[in-house]
Amino acid sequence: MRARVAPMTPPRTTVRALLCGMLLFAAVDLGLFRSGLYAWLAKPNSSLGWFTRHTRFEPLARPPVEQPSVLLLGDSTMGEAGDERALRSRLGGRGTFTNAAVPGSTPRVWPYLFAQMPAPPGGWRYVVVGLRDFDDDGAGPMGERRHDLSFLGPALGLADACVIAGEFRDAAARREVWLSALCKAHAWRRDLQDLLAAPYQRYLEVRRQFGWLRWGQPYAGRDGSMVGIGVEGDRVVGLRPDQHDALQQLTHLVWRRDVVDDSGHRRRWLGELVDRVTATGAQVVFVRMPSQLLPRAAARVPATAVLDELARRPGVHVLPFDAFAELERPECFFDALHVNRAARTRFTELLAEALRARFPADLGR
Amino acid sequence: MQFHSFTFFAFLAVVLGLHYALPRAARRHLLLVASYVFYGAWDWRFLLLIALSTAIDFVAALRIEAAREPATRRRWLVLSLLLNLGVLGFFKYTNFFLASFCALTGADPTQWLLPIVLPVGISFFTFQSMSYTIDVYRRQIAARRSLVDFALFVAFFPQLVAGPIVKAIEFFPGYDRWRAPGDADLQRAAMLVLVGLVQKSVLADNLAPVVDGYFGDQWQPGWLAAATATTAFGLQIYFDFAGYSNIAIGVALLFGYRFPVNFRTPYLAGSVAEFWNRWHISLSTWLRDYLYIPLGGNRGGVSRTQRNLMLTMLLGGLWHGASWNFVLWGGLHGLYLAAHRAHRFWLHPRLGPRVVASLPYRAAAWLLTLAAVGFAWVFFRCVRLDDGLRTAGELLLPARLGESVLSTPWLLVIAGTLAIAWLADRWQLFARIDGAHWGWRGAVFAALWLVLTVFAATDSQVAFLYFQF
Repeated sequence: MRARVAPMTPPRTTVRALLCGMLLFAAVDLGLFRSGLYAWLAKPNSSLGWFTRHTRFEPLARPPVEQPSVLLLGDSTMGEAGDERALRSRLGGRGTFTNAAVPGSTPRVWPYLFAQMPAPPGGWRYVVVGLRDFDDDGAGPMGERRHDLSFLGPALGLADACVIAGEFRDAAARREVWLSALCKAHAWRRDLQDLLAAPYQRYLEVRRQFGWLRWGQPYAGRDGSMVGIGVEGDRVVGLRPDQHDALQQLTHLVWRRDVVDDSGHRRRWLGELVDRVTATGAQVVFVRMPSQLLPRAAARVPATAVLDELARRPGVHVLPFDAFAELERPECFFDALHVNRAARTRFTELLAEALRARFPADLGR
Repeated sequence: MQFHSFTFFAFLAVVLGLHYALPRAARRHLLLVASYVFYGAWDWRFLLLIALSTAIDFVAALRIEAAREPATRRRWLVLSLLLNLGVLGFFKYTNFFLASFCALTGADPTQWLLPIVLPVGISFFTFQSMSYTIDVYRRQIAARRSLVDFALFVAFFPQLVAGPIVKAIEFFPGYDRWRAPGDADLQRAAMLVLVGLVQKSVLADNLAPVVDGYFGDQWQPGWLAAATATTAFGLQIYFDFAGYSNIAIGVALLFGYRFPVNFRTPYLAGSVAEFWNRWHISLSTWLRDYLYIPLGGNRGGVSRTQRNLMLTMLLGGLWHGASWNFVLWGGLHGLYLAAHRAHRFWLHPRLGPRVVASLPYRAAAWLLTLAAVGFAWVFFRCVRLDDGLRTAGELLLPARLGESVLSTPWLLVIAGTLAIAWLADRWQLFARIDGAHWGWRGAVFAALWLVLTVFAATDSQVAFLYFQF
């Protein structure tokens, strides 16, 4: 026979303690991470730090102007190639330019970057989007790229999390999306770990830039050249010992083996970007960044269905495929992906010419 | 369904909700079904194995209790033990003995080895079930009349796959006088689950790549590399298993079941004997009660005691895994215990109580214990015996100092955790937190959540190490 059961003590104080813990946790998450205070204090020079800097702090430092505002979006190829000041100068002071390129970012990141960036007083007039290629075939399924979450973490709301989580087959990635949407401390955890791994170095960096709204290393152009490399048979030759990291990238550029059709992902996210930009009244200009520093091994007609579709939409412009072809030579690149200082200047000139020709009313002489 | 997965916490929420919504009589049935679902999520085929083990011991215990003749009682006990150990032996040790036979005779292993899958947690639930029939045989507890009660004892999901090994004599008294968890219980349960998650996801899982690298394809020569890698593994396995045990005890407490503690800051032990009173306590007490003492324990003179210690530890080593590495690990601990016993009886009286109680002596004993336990971990972790001997060689006869495999932040974290362990042990840290004002407890919860959020290794889910045993 069972013994008489002792009366249960109501778990009042534990419930209070748990609620208090949740509130304190939420307060730290809100006050430190969600507010941007952590990013401002810790000045993270990571991709995520750049994303946050572009979306939260740089707009505060932007002087009010009455000229057409042009936003440059893209990954590090746009960052290295697009010179804001030179563009303004080339266009005779017509227009202000903001290069918000974030290294490592992809089309899935850019709609969020655009949406989170406060627009200048007159709104953005043009958004120039730098694509590495117009080809819909990519090196791998971009929908499964977990690195995107490093940028999106702080930007994701619960509604966004539903969409993004659905793109991943990997359960850990889906969990990551939800955790980042719910809790910004989770989104910033890698940066915090990095800070704690070398706190003194970060302290020195922060002290140097304390109080600034713009930190890190803005793109200023880099010297160097890949001159001397070439293709012999089925391999890339002429790489110096310090350039061997570029081999895999170059091999993909030349032979494009094992490419997959990524048109669905591009259609989804470039379309989303176009929707968001055109909804504000701005126009989108897609440009193909100089990337093919070695010629492709086999002539192949690139699949450009997505860009072709987008080009038919109002407010969307696509610069010619070969607009920057003259820069696609080894001597114009300092590594396998990025143009060097000299090519940066030339790219800016060519882009200024193309924009002036296309939008003479706003950017013409 | 890992304890540190979202799936588990969703499962737990559903089972907890149903448990307290159902009438008390139905709760045992619910927990049994939930436990079978939990186990079936690993591999439903092995549910039959648990059911078989449960049925055998249930019937055997009833027969033992009903029999009047001692010989009949013994026959039923032997039958139960043979069947339990037979099942465990078949699944866990068949290929080990076949591989050893092939190595001895030069036979082709591919012709001999069998495609046997090891059922998760078999060592734990077999030992738990065996404790019941032995306790009934010893007339320490009455045989259960309800198959549901006994089946739940064997399969209760918080401790099913990796312990703690709760003996029948510990489980059923609390089961029969079940009372709903009160305020203090829920506080303790929440703290145990959170601390367990931090131990597993933050500490153990972040140490895993360092350890896997060194004992995998990134082995490097040098004493410092071997010492830090071994330290890292010692901490990884502690945090992994203690984390699991804390979650298991906390989850059981949420249902109103109070399990004994399984770890008590083992790396603060001042001797290997004390280490085994603090490490995997449920296994060490099981081995003491059901193996060491029946073998004769410390009765029968020094040599028989030493033999019993060695046999217990060798079998304890083999319980952990079917490999000569584990036998060697157990053998080393057997040697340590024998040496400690000899030391205590021969050296302590000569040194005198003042020296033995002095701080330098205790500090030296602590360091020596850490070094001995750490050295033995090499054989526990290595995949092949050759690799273990190579690392042991680096520890004992190093050719050079080498480099640490742990970064400075990791060394600081380790120092911090040792300090917390010391505080927990000497200052009753967790008891003080449990007794503090709810606001302070809330702050501790928030801090643990923050640590878990920022530092948990979420990129890949590392399975609990003890699941393989």
